[in-house]
Amino acid sequence: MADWTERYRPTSLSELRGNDKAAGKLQEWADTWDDHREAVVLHGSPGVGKTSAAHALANDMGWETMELNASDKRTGDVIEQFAGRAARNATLAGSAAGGGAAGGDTESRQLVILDEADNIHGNYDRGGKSAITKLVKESGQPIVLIANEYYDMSRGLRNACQEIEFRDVGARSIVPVLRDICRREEIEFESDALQRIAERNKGDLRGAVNDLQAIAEGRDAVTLDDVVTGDRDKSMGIFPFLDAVLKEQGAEEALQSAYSVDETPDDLTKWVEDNMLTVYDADEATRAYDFLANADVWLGRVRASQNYSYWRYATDNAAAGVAAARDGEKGGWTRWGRPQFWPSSDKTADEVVRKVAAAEGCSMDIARRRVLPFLEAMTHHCKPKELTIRMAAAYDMDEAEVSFVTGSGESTNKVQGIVEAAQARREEAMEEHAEGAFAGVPTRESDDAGADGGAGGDERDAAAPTAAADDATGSSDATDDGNDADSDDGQSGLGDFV
Amino acid sequence: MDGPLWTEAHAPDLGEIRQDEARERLERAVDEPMNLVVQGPPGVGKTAATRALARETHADPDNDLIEINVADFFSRTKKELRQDPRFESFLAGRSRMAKRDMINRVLKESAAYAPMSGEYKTLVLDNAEAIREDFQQALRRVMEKHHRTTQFVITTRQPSKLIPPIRSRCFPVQVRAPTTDETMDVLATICDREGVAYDEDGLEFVASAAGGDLRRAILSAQATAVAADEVTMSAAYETLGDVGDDETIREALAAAQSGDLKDARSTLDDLLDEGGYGGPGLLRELLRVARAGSAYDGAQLARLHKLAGEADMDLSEGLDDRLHLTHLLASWAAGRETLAADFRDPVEA
Repeated sequence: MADWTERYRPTSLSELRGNDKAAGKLQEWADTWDDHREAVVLHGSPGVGKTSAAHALANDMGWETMELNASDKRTGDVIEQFAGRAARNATLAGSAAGGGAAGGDTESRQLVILDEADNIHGNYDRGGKSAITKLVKESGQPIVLIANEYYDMSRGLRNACQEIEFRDVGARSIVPVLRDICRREEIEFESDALQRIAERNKGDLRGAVNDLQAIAEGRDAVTLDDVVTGDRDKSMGIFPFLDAVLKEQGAEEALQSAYSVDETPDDLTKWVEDNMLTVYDADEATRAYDFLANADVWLGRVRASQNYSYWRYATDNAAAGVAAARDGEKGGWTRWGRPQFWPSSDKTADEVVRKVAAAEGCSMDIARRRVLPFLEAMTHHCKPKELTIRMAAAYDMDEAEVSFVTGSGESTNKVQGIVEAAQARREEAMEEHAEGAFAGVPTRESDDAGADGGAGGDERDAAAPTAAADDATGSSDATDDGNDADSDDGQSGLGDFV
Repeated sequence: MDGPLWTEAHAPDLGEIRQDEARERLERAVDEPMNLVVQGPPGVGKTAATRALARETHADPDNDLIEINVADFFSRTKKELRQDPRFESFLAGRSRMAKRDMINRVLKESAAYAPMSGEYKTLVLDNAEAIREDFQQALRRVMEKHHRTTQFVITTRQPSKLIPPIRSRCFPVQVRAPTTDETMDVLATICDREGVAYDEDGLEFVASAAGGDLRRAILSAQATAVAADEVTMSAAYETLGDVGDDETIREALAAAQSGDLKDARSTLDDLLDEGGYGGPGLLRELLRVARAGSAYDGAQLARLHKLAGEADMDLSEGLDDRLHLTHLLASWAAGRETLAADFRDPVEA
C-alpha cells in the first residue's frame, strides 16, 4: 500500500491546499527568476507542504529537479560536487533541447531543492554551510531551500535568498483534503472523524494524511470511534505518567502506562525517583526506594553488559514497583519537577582542586577531601587576609575561585581586593624572579666555563666559582686562565665568558 | 611563590626526613640514581620525600621533576584530561585515543625529553595503585627504553598491586606512618619556625587525631594556629570540629531519622554534587560521622553498618549514587535489618 502522502502529492501549484498566498509568491519568484536570479527559502512547520510546493512548481514549469537531503552527507566537498553536477546537467539538457542558447531558455532549467537547509550540522557536514552559501550565490540555476526554522539558517545564507513563509494549514483546509482522499480511496467516512483527525494534527497536513491512512488501513469506513481509539495509542506524556504511577494507578496499570511513555527506562527511573518524595510519605518512600534501587542496579547491568533486554526489569521496578509501594490513591494536583539528567560539574571547584593537587603533589581526590577542607577553614570569609592573599597568589586564583574557597561573595570588595593584591604580588615575584635569573645566568655560565677550562689543572676547579662570585679575584684568576689558554687550544674561548 | 599551606612551606629537605631507614635509602639514590618504589600509607610524606630527593639531585628541580598523578588520570573523563593544562600539550586534538593510550603517550613524551640540567630527570608516578595491570606492562617497556635519561619513582599505598617485573626494577623505600610522638616532634619544629605558641596537650591532641597521617596533623595544626594563634587542646578542639563536611553529614543522618527523606536526599545531593564526593566515599563518611558522635547507640550503628554493606554492593552495580544512599538512610531510619524489605502485596495491604 503506497504512502498516501506520496500518492496524493499535488502535481501542480494550483492543487496545493492552504497557503494560497505562499504558492502565488512562489509562482511569481519562478516567473521572474531570469530577472533576479536569486534563490528562495520556503520555511514553516513540518508537514505544511513546502517540499510539495517545490516539486509542484518544477512540474508546472517543466523543470527537472535535483534534490539534496539531510540524509545525504552535506560536507563542503559533497555540495561542490553536487553544484558541479547541476551545472553540467544544465548544459547537457540545454544542448539536447537544441536551444544552444547557453542555458538561456527556461525549458532547460534544473530546479535545485535543498531540503532541511536549517539543519546543516556544523561537525558532520563540515564546510557545508559556507559551500551552500556559495552555491546559492553563484549557481546558474534556480534554487529552493527548505527550512523549518528560518532563523536557524546562517545570516549570510538568509541575506542571499528571497523568503516565503508557509503557515500552518488550518483544520478547515485539511478536512477537504482528507475527504477528497477518502473518496478516491473509496472509503466511507463520518465527517466528525475527519474533523477530529484534522484537529489532532494541529496544522500538519502530512501528519493528518498519515493518520487517516493508519486508521483507514484494512477498513472501508472511518468512524469517530476509530479515531478516538487511535488517540489512545498515541504516546503518553511524562506528567500524566507520573500522575499514574505516583498517585492513581496500581502496579499492573502503571506498568502498561510505562510502556506507552516515550522515555528510556533510565530517564523514566530518574523522573520517578526525583518526584516520588513530593507525594509519598516516609513508609511508602522507603518501600519505593527498594524498587528504585533494583531498577538502578538493572540499569547498571544494562550499561555493563550492553544487554538492553534487561531494561524491562528496570521499567518493572520503577513503574509497577513504585506504584505498588503506595498505600491507596493520592489526590490533588502536583507540580512535577524535571530531574537533572547529567551530574553538574563545578568547573571552579575542579580548577581549585587541580591547583592545590599540583602544589601539594597529591591526587585531586586527596586535595578535595584532605586538603581543601583545611584551606577553607583557614581562609573562611577571607580571614586572615594575609593568608588568603598568599593562597590567591600561590594558586593564581580569580574571584570565583577565591569566593569558592572562602565562602565570601564573588562580587564583594573583599574578594576583589584580595585578587588584586594577589595579582600585584605575583607580578612582583615575577620581576624578582626575572632579576634573579639575570643575576644567576652569568654566574652559571662562568661556572660552567670554569669547569670546562678546569681540564688543565685541579686548583682551577676551585678558583673558577670564586671568579664568578668575586669580581676582583675573578679577573686575576681569569687572566691566569687566559695565560694558560695560550698554550692550550681547548681554553681559547674562556676570555669571552668573563 | 610560597604556598599558603605549612605542608608546602615546611616540606623537609632530604636530611630532615626523620625516618632513618627511608632517609638512608633515598640518600643512596642520590649518589647512585635508580628507579624507586616509595611505599607507605596516605599522608605520611611519600611525595614530600620524592620532592626532597629531586631537590638534592637536580640543579633545576622545577623542570627535571615531573609528577604524574595516576589516580587523577584514571578517575577522570577523557575530556577532562585533554583539557588539563598539565597534559594539554600532549593530548590536544587526540579525542579518539583510549585512556591507556593517553597516559602512555604522556609518559613516553615526558620520559623522552632531555633533562634540563644534569644527566637525568625524575619522573614520578604518584598513586600507582590505580594503574591497571595491562598498563603496567606498557609502563615496564617505557622504563626499559628510557632508563638512561629518566629515573622513575613510583609512589603507592599498595605495592602489592604492582606487577613483579616493575617491582624488581625498583629499589623499595618504605615510609611508615609516624607515631604520635614523631608527629608531635614534627609539629613542634614547625610551630617553632612559625613562631606559634603551643603546649604539649595541644600537639598530642592534633597528632593523635590525625592517626598517623602527617599531612592531616600539619594542616590541623595550621588551621588551629590560624584560628586561635596558638595550638592548645581547647583551641584545636574548637577549630577542628568545624573543618570538613561532618556537620552537613550529621544533618543528613538526622533528617532521615526524623522521617524527612526529602531533606536527607537533598543534603546528600549537595554533598555529591558540590562537595565532589563519589558514592562509596560518601558512604564511608556517613559511617564515620555516625560513629563519631554519641547520637546513635550501638545497635543503631551496627544496623547502619550492616545495611551499608548491601548499599555498597548496589553502588558498585548501579548508576545513581544518590538513589542508593537515600535508600540506605531510608531503610536505616525505618528500623530495618536488611536493606530491602520482603515484597508486600499491595492488595493485602
